[in-house]
Amino acid sequence: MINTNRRGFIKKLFIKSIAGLTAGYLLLNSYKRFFSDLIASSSEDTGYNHKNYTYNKKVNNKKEAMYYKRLGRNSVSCTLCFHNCTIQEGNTGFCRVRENSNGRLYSLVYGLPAGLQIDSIEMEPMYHMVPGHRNLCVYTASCNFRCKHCHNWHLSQRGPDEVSYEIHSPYEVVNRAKNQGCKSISHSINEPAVFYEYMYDIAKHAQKEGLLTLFHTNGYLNPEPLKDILKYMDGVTVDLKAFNESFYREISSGSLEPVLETLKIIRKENVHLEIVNLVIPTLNDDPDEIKQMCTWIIDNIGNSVPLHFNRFSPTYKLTDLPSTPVNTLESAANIAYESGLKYVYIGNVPAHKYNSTYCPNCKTKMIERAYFSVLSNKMENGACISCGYEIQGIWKS
Amino acid sequence: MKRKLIFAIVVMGFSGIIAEIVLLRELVITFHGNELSIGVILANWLLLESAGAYFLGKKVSRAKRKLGLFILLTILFTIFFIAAIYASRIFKDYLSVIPGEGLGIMPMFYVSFLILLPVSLLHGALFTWGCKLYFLYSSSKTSKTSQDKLSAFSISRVYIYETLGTMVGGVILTYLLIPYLHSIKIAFVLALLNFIICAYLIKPFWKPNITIQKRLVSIFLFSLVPLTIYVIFSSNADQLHFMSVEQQWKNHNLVHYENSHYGNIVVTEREGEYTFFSDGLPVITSPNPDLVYVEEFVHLPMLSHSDPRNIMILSGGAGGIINEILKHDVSRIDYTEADPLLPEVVKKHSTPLTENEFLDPRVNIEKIDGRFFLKRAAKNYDIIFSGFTDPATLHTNRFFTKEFFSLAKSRLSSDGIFILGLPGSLTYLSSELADLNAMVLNTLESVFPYVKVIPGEINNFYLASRSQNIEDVSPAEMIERKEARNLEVNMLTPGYIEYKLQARWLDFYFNNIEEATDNINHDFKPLGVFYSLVYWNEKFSPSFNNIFKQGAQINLYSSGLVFILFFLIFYTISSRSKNFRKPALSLCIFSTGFAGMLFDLILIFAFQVLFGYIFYWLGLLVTAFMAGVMVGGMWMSSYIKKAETAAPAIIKLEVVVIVFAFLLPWIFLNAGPLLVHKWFDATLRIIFLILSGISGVLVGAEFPLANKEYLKLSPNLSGTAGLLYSSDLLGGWLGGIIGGVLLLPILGIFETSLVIVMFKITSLAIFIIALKKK
Repeated sequence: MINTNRRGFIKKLFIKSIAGLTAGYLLLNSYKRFFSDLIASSSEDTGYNHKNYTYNKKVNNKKEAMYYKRLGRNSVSCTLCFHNCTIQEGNTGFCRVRENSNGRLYSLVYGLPAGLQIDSIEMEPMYHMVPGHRNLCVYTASCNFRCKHCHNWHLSQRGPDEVSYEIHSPYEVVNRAKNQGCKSISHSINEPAVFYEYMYDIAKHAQKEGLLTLFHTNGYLNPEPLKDILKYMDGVTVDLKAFNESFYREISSGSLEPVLETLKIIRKENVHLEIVNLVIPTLNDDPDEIKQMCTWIIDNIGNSVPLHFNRFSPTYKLTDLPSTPVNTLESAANIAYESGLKYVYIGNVPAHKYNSTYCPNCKTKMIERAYFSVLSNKMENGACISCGYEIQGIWKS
Repeated sequence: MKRKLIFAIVVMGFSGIIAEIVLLRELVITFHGNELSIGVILANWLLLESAGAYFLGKKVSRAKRKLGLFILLTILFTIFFIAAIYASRIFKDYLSVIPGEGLGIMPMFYVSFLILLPVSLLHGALFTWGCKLYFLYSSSKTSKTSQDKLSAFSISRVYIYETLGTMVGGVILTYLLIPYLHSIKIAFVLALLNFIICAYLIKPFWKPNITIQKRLVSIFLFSLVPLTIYVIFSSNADQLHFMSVEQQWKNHNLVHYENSHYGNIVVTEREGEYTFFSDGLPVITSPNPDLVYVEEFVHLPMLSHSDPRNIMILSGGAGGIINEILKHDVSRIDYTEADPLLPEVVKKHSTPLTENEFLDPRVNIEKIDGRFFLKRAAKNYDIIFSGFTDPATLHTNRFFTKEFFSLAKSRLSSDGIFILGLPGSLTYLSSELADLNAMVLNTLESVFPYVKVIPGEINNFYLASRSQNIEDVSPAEMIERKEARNLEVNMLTPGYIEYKLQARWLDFYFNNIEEATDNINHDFKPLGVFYSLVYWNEKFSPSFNNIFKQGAQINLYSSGLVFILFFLIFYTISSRSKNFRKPALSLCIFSTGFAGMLFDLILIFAFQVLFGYIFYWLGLLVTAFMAGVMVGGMWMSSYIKKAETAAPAIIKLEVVVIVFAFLLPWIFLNAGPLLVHKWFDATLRIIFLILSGISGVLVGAEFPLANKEYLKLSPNLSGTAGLLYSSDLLGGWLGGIIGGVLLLPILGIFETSLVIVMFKITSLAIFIIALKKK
């Protein structure tokens, strides 16, 4: 059909083309956003698809990674943690913060902590290291685990460009700790292995300046980097999240064996060690499992390593579970004592009697604690005041 | 025969609403009961039902045994309903989630979609089939000339009967079924009703002159009835219920399972500790509560006050908080809990902790909406504790608004303290968390002259007062009071009090919220819901928050632009088709469905804001709305029987909807201040009922008119009924999914109504253009 009305035709054409163009533009735009979100979210939700992470670099503060191998075609193999990611050009590893740029691996969080916080050392938890002193804690974005009950998920389950940060060189961190009257620097909150190079430089400098150094880890480091960092560390707190493989696989996206290996190495290198076990109802609270764990610790690490059983309360994605019954924690502690462990604690239950340290020999209450407060300390030169029994730990700064 | 069919259609409406509400309640236990999840589940229901009405419904015109298939669909519907309840309890086992893991928006969407799929698809189809059957049974008596008149009449009749069923079903479900029966039993009772109707619909087997086949079907249907009765009264239904519930709570020692109007309560026992779950989320742990939270929440404000005597707790008091308060020398504690079942169940499974709380003569438990109670309280309180943890629903948001804070302020003694808690952190506040906290702080500061923030690792506490005392009180003074009152506490040592109140935490907090929102949370602009949902969603699918953030940009200007664009696109695409009036008519119905859903949402929400959460009245409002739909449908269906064309009536109706949407918010915005008068209180409740009814009439009236107009253009009855019914539902779907999450929170009640106005003007304009274009 031929349109005889020219003006009408042009008018219609005009309206249609404007509408069409705008609609097309909007559709394209929204779809682009929608699909990129969808892809990002599906990999985010499972946490397993770790080859696709790419992030904008806001600050050009990249530091070359200390542990990686160059493979062919510009790809690299990161040898820092047990994931041993093979990372293609332009991508990051499972941890989101190690990026392959032109065949070299860089840390994206060196000198860029999400915050520096001062708190008491008991907060770590680290009970056998100069009780009650102020400790400066360093943390950044991201983690190499994906624990569904992560308490600090705002940080640990986010990439470096999703978390705001401060800029502090290792020297500045150490200076701040000294100026604020801290006796130690800890690397925790998120997994410090992901900011290994930063931690390495801070710890090295801090020890020179006479500060105590420690880190709180999930124990998923490879032996070589672990041994290297232990040279500059006075203490380590390791999360032994459970004593079964499926917990590690399903809840944390890791595995148990490397963590046990880490514990053995720390013992061998003779660095002060404390172990934390968060007891979660139905998931890792089986008494037999706890018994096995305690036996393993005694056989491989020894009976003087402090062991903390912490109370779980619903967080992050694990929202539909009850808090750990205090009875469960007490029976776990009793199992540990019966197995022969000397220092067993219950955490997150304020003023529970097992917040405190008792002399394994004469049972005197030596360090009385309520939650993170130290109420009294009856110890002299690292030994029990009444019977002189020497307590394992670092008691002098 | 026609009378039998009418019964069947009423039962169909009856069954539909029961299935919808029961499944919503079941799914919310496994999902989180926030505004988003409720929106997603309802939206899926409407979407699927509309798909069923259109796609499955269309098939009716070609089907041979129409009645037989109608019966088959009904039976399948009831069976799938029972299966869906079962599935919603056990599906978590088949997802790759671990026991105890919460679910994000994506699994929420596809799980509820799959579970509802057979049920609502079939129910949607039943509507269209019902229309066709009604037409067939009526047409024998009428002449062929009035066929299309009869078609329109049939559809509107079925619409009316279905609505009648919906209305009755809603009332019976809430007042007779839910309080006494568990979901599986409700489903079996419903199945019984449907089987009886099916058996009643066809010729009974004992009548002579029927084929063997029909006789067998009849015998089968009749035998279903006693079988179902047996299942209901024997322990079989209970067994099925317990089996599925045990599987839902596997690994737990389940000691209590009960439903109330407000939701579901489950109690588990483990190593001597009871955990009380409300709609699947743990709310109380006894006898060992989360001491860190309980001690900080109670003693920080109690020690900030020189002599706290009269105490009020809005929700969450049992299981620790009351116990801590009783350690001070108080004279009275008023404790409100909206769901009466919760305190009852706590009492039933008591531990020394809760026993102490419930038996103390100073404790007065009020099973009533806290805001409602506070409004009527004559007393001035020294401390008011708000136990609500976040404003994730329109219901809880009422405890975080400027208007509510003003009410709380007016019920405080001159140096009284109001306290609430929000999620917090001492290491890092993400922008979502910062926004949520900042919004509540801004709102508090807009009401109270003094607000003291006590940041914490898990909870940030906000103390608000008219007196400067809360800012002046020093940690030393608080420690002195603690000694003087001889408080026996576990965690709150003098050292800890000092540590907790160190200025550096405040520096950290204020540094982190510096760039956060300046917005304030209002009753009628419940922004808190939005910030809460964004924060919640941040856990599960953070990348979706980009969509939310885009959504937060909406305003009247941008929505106006959307409608203009929509108009142009719709016009461009549809004007080419031969019958422009057809899409124009479905657009009218679509936008009316949208408006109807939002009217309903606005009215229920506004009622809660003004009067409190009173279940009985909310039920009345919904019933009034459904009754309105029925009256509107009846009124117009008798009109179209006589009239030749419905077009002028549609135009008039559209104009009335526009005017109504425009006026609706004015009433609420101006009613609040008048509520101080007692006489006005009662009057306004009546006005709410009337408004609910009117909005129902407007929605119900348009449907028969549109059908009439549409059938003039296309004589296909089932196609028309299916299309228009699904347009109506899809409109409701759109209103439901963006109404509670985006429109109401971001735009507020007033501007949301203006969005309805804009949408209706668009559809009216398109309809008028379509009419002119012959």
